Amino acid sequence: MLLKLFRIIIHFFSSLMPKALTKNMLTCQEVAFILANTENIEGAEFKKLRMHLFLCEPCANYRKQLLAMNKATQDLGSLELSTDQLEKIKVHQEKLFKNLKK
Amino acid sequence: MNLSSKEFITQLQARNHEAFGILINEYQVPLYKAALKMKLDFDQAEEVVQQTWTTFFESVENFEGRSHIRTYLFGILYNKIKELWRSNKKYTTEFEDGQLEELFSEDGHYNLSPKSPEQWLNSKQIGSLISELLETLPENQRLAFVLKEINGEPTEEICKILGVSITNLGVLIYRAKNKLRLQLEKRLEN
Repeated sequence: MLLKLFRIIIHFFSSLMPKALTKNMLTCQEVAFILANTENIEGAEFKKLRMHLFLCEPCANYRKQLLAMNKATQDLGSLELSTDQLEKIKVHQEKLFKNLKK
Repeated sequence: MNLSSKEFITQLQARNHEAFGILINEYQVPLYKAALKMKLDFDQAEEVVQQTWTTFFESVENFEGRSHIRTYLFGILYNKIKELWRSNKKYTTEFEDGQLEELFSEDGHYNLSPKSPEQWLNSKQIGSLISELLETLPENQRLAFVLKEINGEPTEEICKILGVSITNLGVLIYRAKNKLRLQLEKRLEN
């Protein structure tokens, strides 16, 4: 709750800051792009990004959404073929071999 | 045997049946699995795998060995899958790429803030929703997302398969994830 309030105050003041002062800060759009392509943000090169995430609630939520999606997609990667499917693949493979010999 | 060695490639190009046999043994099941992961039914998977081998046999003479033979073979497979998607015209784009730009104001802040996913369902249910929503993505975004996020293929391989630069792949992934994310938010709100 306190963090939320803190973020709202920071967001309000940062919107009032002149552009010259915020030019070195990452925008939410830049953060969104980096987070979509990087899961591990521990390194020193992500210092600005982590600071942005600490201060910005929408970006923190965006990251949580992506992490939830990543976790969910990991399970989609495993695919077990049924015995019937393996049998059909074998038949297809034999056909390919026969065609090769022709 | 190293399937990407010059010697093996030369054998393939000389139409050596034994070399083709080794390759078929090695990649027949992975090709089917890759096709099925792209949400093709088994008959469609069989069709694209057959077409992949036919194209491979016809074109291997032109293979210059710049990538692994696996990358070359799977590149053919994914092109066949794209052709199939195109002929079925199954996907309906819910978000055009341009609409994603409207997510942010000119100064790069969110116009529509992402909500906390605390209310989202469990991982398995999100997974099946994502799997369903994949069909709403344009083909290159869908392929990039599946190859990177689901299959966990290395970035370089994906770039070779899709014929895009690393930066372009980043854009494809960004767009795919945001389109899926926005649709998940919409679905889970209802």
